[in-house]
Amino acid sequence: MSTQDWILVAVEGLVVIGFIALGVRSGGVGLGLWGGVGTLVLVFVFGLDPGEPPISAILIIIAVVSAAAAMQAAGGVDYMVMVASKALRARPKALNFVAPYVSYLLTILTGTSNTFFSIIPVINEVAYANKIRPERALAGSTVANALGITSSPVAAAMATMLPLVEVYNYDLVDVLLITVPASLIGIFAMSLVMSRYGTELDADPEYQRRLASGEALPPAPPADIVLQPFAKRSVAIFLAGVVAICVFGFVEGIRPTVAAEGGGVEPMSVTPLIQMIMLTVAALILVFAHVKATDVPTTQIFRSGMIAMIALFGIAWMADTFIANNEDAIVQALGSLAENWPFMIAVAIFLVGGLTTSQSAATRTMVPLGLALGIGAGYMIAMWTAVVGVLFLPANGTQIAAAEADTTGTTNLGKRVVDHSFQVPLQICWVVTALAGIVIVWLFFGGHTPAPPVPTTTGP
Amino acid sequence: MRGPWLWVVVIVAGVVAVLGVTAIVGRDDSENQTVSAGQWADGVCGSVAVWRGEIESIVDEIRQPSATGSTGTTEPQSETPQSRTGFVRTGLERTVRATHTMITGVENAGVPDTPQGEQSANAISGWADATRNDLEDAQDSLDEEADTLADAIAQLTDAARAITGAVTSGVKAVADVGRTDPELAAALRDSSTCQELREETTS
Repeated sequence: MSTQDWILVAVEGLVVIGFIALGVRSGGVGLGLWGGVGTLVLVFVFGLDPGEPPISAILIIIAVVSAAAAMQAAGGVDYMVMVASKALRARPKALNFVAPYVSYLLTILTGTSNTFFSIIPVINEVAYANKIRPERALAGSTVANALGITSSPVAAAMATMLPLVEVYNYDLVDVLLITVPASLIGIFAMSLVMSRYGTELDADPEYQRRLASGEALPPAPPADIVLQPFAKRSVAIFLAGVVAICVFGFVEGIRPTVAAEGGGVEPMSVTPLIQMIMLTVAALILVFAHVKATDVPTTQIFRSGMIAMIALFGIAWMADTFIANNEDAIVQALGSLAENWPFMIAVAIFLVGGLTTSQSAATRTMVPLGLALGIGAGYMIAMWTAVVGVLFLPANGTQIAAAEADTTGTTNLGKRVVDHSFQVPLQICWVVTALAGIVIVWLFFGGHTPAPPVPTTTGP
Repeated sequence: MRGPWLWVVVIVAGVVAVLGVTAIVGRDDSENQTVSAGQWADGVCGSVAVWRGEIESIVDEIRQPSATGSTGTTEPQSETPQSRTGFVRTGLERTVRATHTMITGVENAGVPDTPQGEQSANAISGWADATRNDLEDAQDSLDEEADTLADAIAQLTDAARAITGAVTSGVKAVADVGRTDPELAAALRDSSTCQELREETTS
């Protein structure tokens, strides 16, 4: 690429960052609208081909929000808040630890971070009802959720990773033996930091402003909650749906099969299953928890979910337009960086994840390069967890949904694009996880790629 | 621990720690270093096996994008010959990149400590340099805008030919090295990584 091309890519990148910043300043639906303007500028002014709008993620948000909003209309969210508050009564701050681990587990079981959408409102409500700064639990959970991808045997990124390291005698179990404990340590360190992060809710000026203006209602103490008659039933239906998604996600064999393009059949992907199951959950709640369909759109979860959907639509479309047209340049630049300075490989994986917002892209481009540069396969697995860098820019569906769900305003997408609520937990988490993984490999995998026996030279 | 600058310092310190540890554990690059015949064979076969894994994933993604993690949002009815060639172009671009990485890996395998080790390493290095140039030409050709569908298909064909040429000449280079250096031939035959690769290829 010529210098002129690089300058053009940089200018396009600045346009993307500029429109994200404009959208973040507008907040809410404005984020998506400015993202749409950014897409238009990239296509009309810079002549880029339009990227793919995040249709799958939008459809999942619609389905999950419908189910969660139906549950809220039935009083189910209140019931969950009550139960969680009772469980956490002795140590309410334990939520900052429990929520990230639950989010992480959901991703492991389903192989996708999309299931997280279903528990965002619950985490937010439980935190707020217990006067915990929601940002602490929400931001930490969002990061832990994304980290779960490298610990999930059913994730697409794992399917990309395994063929690269299998030849070095690392199978799925070995990979999980490195990534799971490392991630557990990383999440713990992150949660520890997050449990002390930011001011207490009562001292937060933005929250106070929202309280005064009526944008945020004061938290209802869990003890004052009056349960609606079918609240428990709605929760049971909702949780059964989440469990069903986890089971279908984890056990490929029980999924319905669809025709494979190369011939034969293959298990259906998890994405449409989440959509079907969550829409069914919403319908069952309407029937068995006696919720009027007209009440669902009036809930707070529905409102914030729809705003998140529009925000994601514009922002992710703009980001994909930039990325789809410049992925090669991004990978080439960061690949050269790692090639010249191999010690930069972990940072390169993190940045490729961040700039392409794709864990699979970061895996398939950077891991082979690291192996080619002579870094041991075990260490590459440890550093692979850096693909959690996809949250570096606030253009991810889970980030937008978490920020939108938090009516206190503590969880935000930042004013300067990179200073969002997820940045500190993200950085803590990936650094600690990568370091812990490296130590695990060094201690338990002999430090280097399992050495094959030195061949006996017997002549031709 | 409240001020934003303190967080910046903590994060920078953490990233520096990762860089430092990576620098320590990542000192396996053997380029221009003398290694045993077994290590050399492992390095070469490992790079080829990783390349093979990448090619499999590229082929899978071209066949069924939704199953491998892409958004897969393009409606089948909206598919055009142009979008199909675009898909193939992306796959070829990734293949060029993967092949480039494989060459780096083969070069980094080092200089085998056999009687003809130096000669063998030079032969591999010569292949790597020539192939890199061919791949760069192929990438440049893929970067150019095609005016017609026929031009686009011609570009893709040229790129595919360059990749095939790179692989074929690589196989020949390694085979030549094996012929001239019996110790390396034995190492290539006996290395567990090479055996694993052979098993994967034949399965």
